[in-house]
Amino acid sequence: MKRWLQKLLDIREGERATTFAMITYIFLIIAVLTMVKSVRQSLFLQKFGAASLPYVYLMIAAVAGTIATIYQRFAKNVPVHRLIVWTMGFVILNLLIFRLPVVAAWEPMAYVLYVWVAVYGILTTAQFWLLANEVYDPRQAKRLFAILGTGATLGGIAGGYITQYGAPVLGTENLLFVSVAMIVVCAALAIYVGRAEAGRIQDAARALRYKASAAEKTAGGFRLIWESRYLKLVMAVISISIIIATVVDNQFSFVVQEHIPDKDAKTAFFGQFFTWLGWIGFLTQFFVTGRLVRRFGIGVAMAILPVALFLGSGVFVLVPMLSTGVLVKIADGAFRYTTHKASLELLYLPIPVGVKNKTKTFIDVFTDRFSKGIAALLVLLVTSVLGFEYTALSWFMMGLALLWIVVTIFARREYVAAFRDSLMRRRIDEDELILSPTDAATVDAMAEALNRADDMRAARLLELISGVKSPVLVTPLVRLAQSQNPIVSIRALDLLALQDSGVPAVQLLGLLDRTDVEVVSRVVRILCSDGARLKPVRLGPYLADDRPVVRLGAVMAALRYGDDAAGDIVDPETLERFLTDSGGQEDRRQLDRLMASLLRALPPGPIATNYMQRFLNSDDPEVRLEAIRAAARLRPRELVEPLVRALADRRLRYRVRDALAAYGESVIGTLADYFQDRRTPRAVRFHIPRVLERIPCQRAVDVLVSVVSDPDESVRFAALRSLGRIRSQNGGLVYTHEVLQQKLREEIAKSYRYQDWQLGVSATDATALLRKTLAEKYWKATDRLFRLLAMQHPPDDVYAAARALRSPNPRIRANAVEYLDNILAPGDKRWVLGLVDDRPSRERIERALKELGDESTPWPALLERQAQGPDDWLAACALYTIWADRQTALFHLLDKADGSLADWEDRPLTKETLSALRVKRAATQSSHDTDR
Amino acid sequence: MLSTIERVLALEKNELFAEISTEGLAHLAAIAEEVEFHANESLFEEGAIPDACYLILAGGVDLTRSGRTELSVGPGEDLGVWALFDGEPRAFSAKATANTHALRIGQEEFYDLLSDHTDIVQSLFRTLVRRIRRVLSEQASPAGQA
Repeated sequence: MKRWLQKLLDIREGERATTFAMITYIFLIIAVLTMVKSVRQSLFLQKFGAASLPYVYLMIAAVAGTIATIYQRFAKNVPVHRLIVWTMGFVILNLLIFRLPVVAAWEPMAYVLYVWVAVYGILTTAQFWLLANEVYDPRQAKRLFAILGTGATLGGIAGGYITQYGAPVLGTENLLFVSVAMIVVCAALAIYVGRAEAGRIQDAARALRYKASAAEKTAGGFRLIWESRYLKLVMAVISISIIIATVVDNQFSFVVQEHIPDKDAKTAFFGQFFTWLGWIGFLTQFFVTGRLVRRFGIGVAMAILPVALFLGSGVFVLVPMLSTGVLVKIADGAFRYTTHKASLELLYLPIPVGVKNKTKTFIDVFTDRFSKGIAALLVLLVTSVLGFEYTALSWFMMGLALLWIVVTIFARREYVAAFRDSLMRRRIDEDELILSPTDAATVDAMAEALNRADDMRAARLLELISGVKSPVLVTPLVRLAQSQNPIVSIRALDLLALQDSGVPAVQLLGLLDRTDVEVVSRVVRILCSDGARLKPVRLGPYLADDRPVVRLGAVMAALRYGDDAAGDIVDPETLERFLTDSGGQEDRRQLDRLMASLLRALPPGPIATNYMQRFLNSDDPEVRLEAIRAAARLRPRELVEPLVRALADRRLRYRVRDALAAYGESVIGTLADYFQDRRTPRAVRFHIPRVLERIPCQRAVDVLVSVVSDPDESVRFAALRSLGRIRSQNGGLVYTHEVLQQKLREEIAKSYRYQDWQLGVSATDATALLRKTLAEKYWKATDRLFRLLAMQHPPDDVYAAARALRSPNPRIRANAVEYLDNILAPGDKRWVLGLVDDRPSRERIERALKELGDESTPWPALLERQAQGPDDWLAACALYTIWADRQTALFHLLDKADGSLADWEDRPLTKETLSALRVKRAATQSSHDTDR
Repeated sequence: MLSTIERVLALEKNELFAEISTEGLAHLAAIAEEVEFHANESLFEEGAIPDACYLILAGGVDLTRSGRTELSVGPGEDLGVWALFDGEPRAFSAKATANTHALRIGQEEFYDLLSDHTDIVQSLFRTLVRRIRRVLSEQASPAGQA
């Protein structure tokens, strides 16, 4: 029984004291509300009669709005538990004043009490749920709000009984003293919860912290609501639901009045009906709400009441009888304070604490009263002004219920988006500097800035003004051309070359002594140009210069900047002879570097390809890099395979990736051949995905998907990572391969298995390495799992959720789980949430493994399974643990090493461990023999 | 001769490598070389270009600058790590104070390993940043108190 109750309530270790306090708290609040409601009803009807009720409704609307405004100003900087205590003190004071004979005898007191009770009901319940929002994270809220709601329902029933049996004994007015005592207990409970959960309340504030704009800091509740689409939708849901509730209530009164004319029979009916409604609500709350919210999420929980009212009203329109009228009221009563209330409170969870404190009470109090006023006017309009039968109200209710369903759909969408925002808020916004130096004033300012700029700033400024022509730039550009920083020098020379006139060539001659051919070729270009055009005839002296760098610079200038005629000056076939014969002083390495740099300017063709092939095999990394850069520019087919093989070299890898990606889709076939061939060196295979992700197309996706089941864990990981990157940046590609779904299931099963093993391993020093390894394996498996999920859902959001799941702040983790709960497909959700939600439970893991076709493995049998499994490192750790933990029953696994080491050729770590353990065991045996 | 697992167990005890996954440490163990130094034997000299870092398994090493002993390093501790990262000449000379058993991790092999294992890079970054923070907070505390 205890276990059944525990499972049903699902209140976990560490939550019990607070949850019990919260249940008691809401129980007392609602019990008091029911009691004072009865007192006010009785007093009011006795003094003024039912005909005066519309006036008091209007008073409530006016007073509640004013109080909500004052309250939200007062409340914005006060912790909610403290606010509750102050409110409770004020309530107690009021009740004691109401009980004073002079005050009680005052004629309009019944009006005051009526309005006061309405405000009390809204304010105290709103504060309770505000506190619950801060104390519980979204995952706890889904489990526990329904239980708290049960406390409220039971409070209503208990309040009714106390009134029923207490009033004749104590007297109606003296029930106020009972209420005071109960409220004192409520205040004490609020203080207790506030202190016990101080850490969680702070976590909640941190998790939903965001940088408020100046406007948000100063804005009042109404303005915040008005500016937030989400808050407006929340307000719309509440408003429509209250309008319908009021209309339902009126319609129900009409039905009862029509079908039960006798006064005593009517009283008896109401008494009986509300008692039963209380119990129906209680049962719904206890057995349905929590499960419904957990299983189907907030969307279904929110939609159930409007759907029920739509259907109920439809039935009533067709068959307007007492029983159908009762049915509509039961539908409203059963779901309003259960599923509807729980889902409404969940809606507030993703709202930042500061905004929530400012707006929740305002929405609850103001919307409630305002909507009731609207509903009253609607009823009057339909029945009195338009003269319809009360049954016509059902048509309006059906229309409103439909509107409610639509608003619910939007609100649910925004709810998910709000969680996503709270996860993504952790990203850093990047500022973008956009300059448009088109007018003279800006160019003057730029020239001025260039005059004062250091190298780093100069490089940035030169990039910004590339292509700008202006005489004022010449002087600073000549200065910057002298910079020892080649980037600054090259950018300054490029910009100088564009200037129409006035470039003092003589000041650039010194740069011909530089060793950087890029600088020299640009200087030659300027020296041989007339305006912006290169004059080939002027190249002669530089082609014959003693310095090879200058000769090469002249060749490059001709190739790069000359027209066809300039290109003819340098016959490509004589280039090598030209460079080697004329100088003769340089060592081979230096010469190779110079020749390789010429590749930057050579046109495509066999000569360039030969050079590239030759230089790609050079010993000098600089020369190889030149060849790779040239390959990226010229893209000869012959270079593809050498480039793929060059991926194994870490010093070249970065440029090789760029070069291969420059080939585009045409290279994917070759990459696929290497990638799918398991004999390809791992260092090459591992880096092919990084090339494919730079060629985002369907073929690249298909090749990456084809290896997601590869036995090499790191290759699988690399493929998934690249798939994720492609998906983040490119829409329209297809990822819904069955193989991905299959892989997802495999990773889920693997994650559960690692969790099972982690829980199963005996916690001793000897098992520490194995436990650490299993924890790492689990995280890696879940990482791959999330990468696979990112193939089906918005990748950035899934990654943000995955990162948030590792946060030390439980509220942030819960936000991530709640977000996943709302975006994952039902089939995946069950498995994924079972892995990441709260702490792992042995029962849940065993059940999941069974359903996934696996089974839980006890200690130490799991060591045998790991030792014989496919994971080399895990097997080595398991074998070591067998020895270190003296699991003698499993020593036969170590003996395998004696005769069959050849079986372990593809598992070097396992083989090595077995070999080492054999030596250790022999040493131990020998020492035992000596002792004997 | 230590097995890979024994090397992993030795490496994970060192603060620098403690954040690296056990599988990552197995890769590191594979490139680590076991070396022995006799008492008074030099590991490296001040001003030398660094080519490796060391993890002391047994024995001890004195670090000296200009002939003066600045620090003594014992089992489980590393030396020569900073130079491995910045490539600057050795700031100290290192000499074994007793027969010393150590793991030597060569710079080239280490970089090769890092280039293929970004998870190891991330773990090292975490540890190094934590070291820097600690140094900064140690420097800041007396000033703050003053």
